[in-house]
Amino acid sequence: MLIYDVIDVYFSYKKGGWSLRNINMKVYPSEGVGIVGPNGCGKSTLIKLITGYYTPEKGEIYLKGRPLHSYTRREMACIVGVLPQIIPDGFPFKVLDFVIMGRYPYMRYFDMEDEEDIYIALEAMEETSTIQLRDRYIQELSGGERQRVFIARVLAQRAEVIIMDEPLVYLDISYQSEILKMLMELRKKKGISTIIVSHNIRNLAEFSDRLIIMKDGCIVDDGPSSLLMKKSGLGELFGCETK
Amino acid sequence: MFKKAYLLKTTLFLLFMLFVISLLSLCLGSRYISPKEVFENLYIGNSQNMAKDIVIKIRLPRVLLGIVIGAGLSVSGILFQSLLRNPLADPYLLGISSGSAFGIIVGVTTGLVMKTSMGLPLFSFMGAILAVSIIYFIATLSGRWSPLGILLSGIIVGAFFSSMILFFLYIVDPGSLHIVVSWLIGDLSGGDYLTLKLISPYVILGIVCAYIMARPLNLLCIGEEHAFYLGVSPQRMRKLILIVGSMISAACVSATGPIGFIGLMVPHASRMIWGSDHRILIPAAALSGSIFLVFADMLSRSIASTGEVPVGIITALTGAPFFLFIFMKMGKDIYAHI
Repeated sequence: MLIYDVIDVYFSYKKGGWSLRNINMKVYPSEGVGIVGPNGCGKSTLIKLITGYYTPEKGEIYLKGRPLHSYTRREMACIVGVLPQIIPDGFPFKVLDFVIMGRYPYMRYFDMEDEEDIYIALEAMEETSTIQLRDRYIQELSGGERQRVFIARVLAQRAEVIIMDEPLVYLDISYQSEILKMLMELRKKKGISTIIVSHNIRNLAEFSDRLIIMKDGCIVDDGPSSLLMKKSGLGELFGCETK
Repeated sequence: MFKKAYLLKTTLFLLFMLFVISLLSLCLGSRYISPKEVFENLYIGNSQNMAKDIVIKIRLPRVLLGIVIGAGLSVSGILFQSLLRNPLADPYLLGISSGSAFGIIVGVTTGLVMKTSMGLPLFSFMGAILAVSIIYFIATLSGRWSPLGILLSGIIVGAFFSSMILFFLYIVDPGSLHIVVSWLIGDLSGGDYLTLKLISPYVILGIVCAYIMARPLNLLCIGEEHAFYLGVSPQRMRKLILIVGSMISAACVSATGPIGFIGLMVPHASRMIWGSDHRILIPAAALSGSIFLVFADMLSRSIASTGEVPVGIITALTGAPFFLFIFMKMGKDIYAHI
């Protein structure tokens, strides 16, 4: 069964002119999809549409065969794990508590995390090498550490698809490859699909099965990353060399 | 399991403290009554003497009211701080106390207060609910439930009702002025079983609702988008928090008038001691608020030989050094990054 099936989706922030036009996209189980494109091409808007944050004006989005709008927020959170670009700025939480929040969609009313939840959270922290940060406050961390903790939280959510909007921006080059490699292993081992938005086309192409290339609110190319990287014209799109 | 154990340990400890302070509060006052006598009067209850009257009719309702109001103010402070994403928010920030005072002045000047057995608390509660309904209406009009939108609506409504109060005070007789001004000072001296019966269902229901919302509150603290992706609808959550927080603070303010410091500082002190997780914070802050208010009320009754000192003065006088102590000890790490 398809994880995502996006059919003829249109979206605009204000009247007169679509921000996204004619978007068609499919995501299969355990597939790694990279979405690339220059600034302002609509990558983040597309992410917000498929996560239900915005509602499309035309077209339909199906998640596991069901229309996206028929899901409750909690049901969505058990299937889709999202890593937004925003940094928490409220009252401070310790890193372990923050990662455990990934388990919240599975809890009801007066529930507290049980041993299994804590085990899952610690495992996610091991996988992202954040275990030594467990008693620090989120606000104290460096940009890179914080990003790894966010990824740990998404992993603790045990979602079937993980969506990340620019997860690599604050990371050192060594961590960038490490995180992408880790996501690739998750796809192989656990059958999780990943959708990653990034500027770093070269890194993304290496670790993704498929690339979707966007420009001016449209999808201009969609195919296996190895094929797309050989095509000419990508460098022109990004204003740099890709090969 | 560690969270549950921590919660249990904290709650038991605070309940024990509350018991001790409450017992002390029943004993102390202008006349000392020994704990043994207090228990006799509470449990046997067949003797007809002055000590029994003092314990059952005067001190007990005050202690119970102190427990309910202290818990209510702390929890509604937590709710407003999370709702407005503002550490300076307290239960009165959104003009609920002005609405409440307005209700009282309308009741007093029209003479309607005398016609109902509930008296001042009822009018005060209605005034507070009117203020909140207007805030709710304005926030809904703007279409988006942003923290800043709610804050601005609250401040506008508060300013409006404050002016209305001044206007009424200007045109009415000085007798009403006295009632309103003494209410505005805020204390527990008017505590009786009728007031307790009127307000405690709202406060207790509100605290239970707040506890059910503890997990979503944690998520709202880390940001709207994060909360959304973890299964919470921030817009709906904000409406609920506003309704529950206002219900609690309206009930509290109508019983005792505005008592300062607790709603602002107990949540912060509790956060420093027990952390930001609302599942621990809400019960811990509720019990700490109760302990603190019962303690402050006890002092207010016993400190001056000539009569009572308004409890609002005591809460700030004793609370400020205590808060400073906790801040120096534990707050520097937590608050360094906000």
